[in-house]
Amino acid sequence: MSARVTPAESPPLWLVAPFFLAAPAGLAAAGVIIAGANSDSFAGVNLPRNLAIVHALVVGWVTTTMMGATYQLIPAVLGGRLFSAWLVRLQFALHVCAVPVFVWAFYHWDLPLLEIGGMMVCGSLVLYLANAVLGLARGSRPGVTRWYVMAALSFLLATGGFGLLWVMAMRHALFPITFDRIAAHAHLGLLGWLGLTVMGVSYQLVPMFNVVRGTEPRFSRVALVVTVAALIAFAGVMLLAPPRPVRVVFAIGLAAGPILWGLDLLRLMHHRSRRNLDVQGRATYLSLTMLAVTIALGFTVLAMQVVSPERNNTHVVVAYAMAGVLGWMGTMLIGNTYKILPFLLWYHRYRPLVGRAPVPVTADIYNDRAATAVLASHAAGVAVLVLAALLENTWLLRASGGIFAAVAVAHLGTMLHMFLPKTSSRPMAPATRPLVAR
Amino acid sequence: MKPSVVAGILRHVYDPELGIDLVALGLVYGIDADDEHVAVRIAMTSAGCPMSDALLGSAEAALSYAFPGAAVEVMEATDPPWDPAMLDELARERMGMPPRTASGARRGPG
Amino acid sequence: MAQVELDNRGLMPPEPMVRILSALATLGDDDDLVALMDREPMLLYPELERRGFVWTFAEAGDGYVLTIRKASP
Repeated sequence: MSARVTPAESPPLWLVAPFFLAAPAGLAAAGVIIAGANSDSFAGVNLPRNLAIVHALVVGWVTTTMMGATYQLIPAVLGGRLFSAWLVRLQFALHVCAVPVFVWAFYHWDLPLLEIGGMMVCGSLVLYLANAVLGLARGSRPGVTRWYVMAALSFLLATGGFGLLWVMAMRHALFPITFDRIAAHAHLGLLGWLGLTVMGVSYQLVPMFNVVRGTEPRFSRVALVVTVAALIAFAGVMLLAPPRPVRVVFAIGLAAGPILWGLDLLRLMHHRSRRNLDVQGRATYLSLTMLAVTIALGFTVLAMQVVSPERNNTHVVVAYAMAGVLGWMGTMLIGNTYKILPFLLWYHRYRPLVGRAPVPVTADIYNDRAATAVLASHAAGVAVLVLAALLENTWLLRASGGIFAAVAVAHLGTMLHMFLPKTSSRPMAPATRPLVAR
Repeated sequence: MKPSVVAGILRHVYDPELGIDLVALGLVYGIDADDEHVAVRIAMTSAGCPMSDALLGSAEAALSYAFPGAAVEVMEATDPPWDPAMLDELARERMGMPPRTASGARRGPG
Repeated sequence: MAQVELDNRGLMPPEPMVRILSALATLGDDDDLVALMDREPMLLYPELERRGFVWTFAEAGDGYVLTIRKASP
């Protein structure tokens, strides 16, 4: 069976690249705030400083990167078509204006400004969702990844909606914000939006990049169904302040999906034909390790709450959230950035020259050693941060902030380096005709 | 032109992600060439690969450039599905897989 | 039963919240923590609830008074 060559579909370089280049600013901002931490940091989860750090990371770094990645993957991998390039540009402009306002308002606990910042962020999310959903609807390849992305987009809407509602409730004293409501918002965002996107996309990309044939994932559908069901039940029940034992059931449900996904990924990686690991392969293993740490810390938080609810367990909550956002998500994002951006650059700059001139391959476009150094430094930062939180050590905490700020700069540096002209490391065809003849 | 000349051109078209050429990867399923006409069938390493359009387009561009007088046709082949067993020794080495002979000897009895 | 008093007027966030949370760590079962405030501490409430405290918040003069005690089991 044969099919005719179809015209290529990859979005313009300067539609997607700005998201990747702007995102490390979120990591840098979080790093700077963490570096300036004082001994109050573990007094309460809800401290303005802690909220500013989490939102700089999640909305600034992780979500911005994921927006860029999905704008690339929807046409290139999922077979969809972006609704409008101008809508993407408008959304980017709104997003980069919204995040600093949002983080600043959290840091200074300025509720009126937080409401404005929250509305701006939600505006950016709605524009993004419109483009992504319409893009997916306009023809897409069948497959489980598409359903993961659809579910993740729905949870993104729910996360943004709840978040804005909580801010407005505080600003206008509409109803009390309980810790359970904050937990619902956080898990919808962390697992629903970020987690499902990472899970779904890696089901597609990990077998592709690592050349896995003859081994199919076992739990891709089950993990999606379990996670979606657990999240809806968890968010619904947490709004109603459930008794402690009910929470244990939902916590197990929330952990089940990522665990099944992790087992699948380990199996796929074990059966890969491409034995030489590059930065993305290393990131996959690191990310799975961090996921295991996150789940262990999550159950520790739960156990502490059930056993002695009056004890301040802020430090373990901080370790749990940071292992999830910076560890599980962050390492995966760093690894995949070194796949997506070089491919985009190859596609737009070098593919038109294939056969006519020596053309670099993606491995020539980014520096795998530098990328691995960035990844390793980031993982070290996560380890120091989690340790600092568990020991409630302010000095270690500040050190981890310094590491993240440096990682953000180095990560940006390796990305900018990709844009410099590159030469091919591969031999060129013996010239059948001189190049000048054309 | 001879199929071996066509294959020689495809030996310099690389999968951008793996950095290995199409012939070494075992992706070239068929070459049909005469003086006016070059038709090749190329498989993909995975179904739904985002590289597929790029890779087939690259092969077409390289062949059109090498044989300006000929009508070039590049088709995507899906049967049989590509398998890592189709990699040649050079590709296996690049991917960090053990040489075929060595792996056979290791798995053999005794 | 004792009363612990805390004047948080004129302090910028998160100072009032941090001071209250550290004062709570040493609060006895029957003690009241009475804090004078410039504004309602919205971020503090979830932390109080999580640690098993109850509170009242009332206007007093040109400021507010927040009274916190352990929830009866």
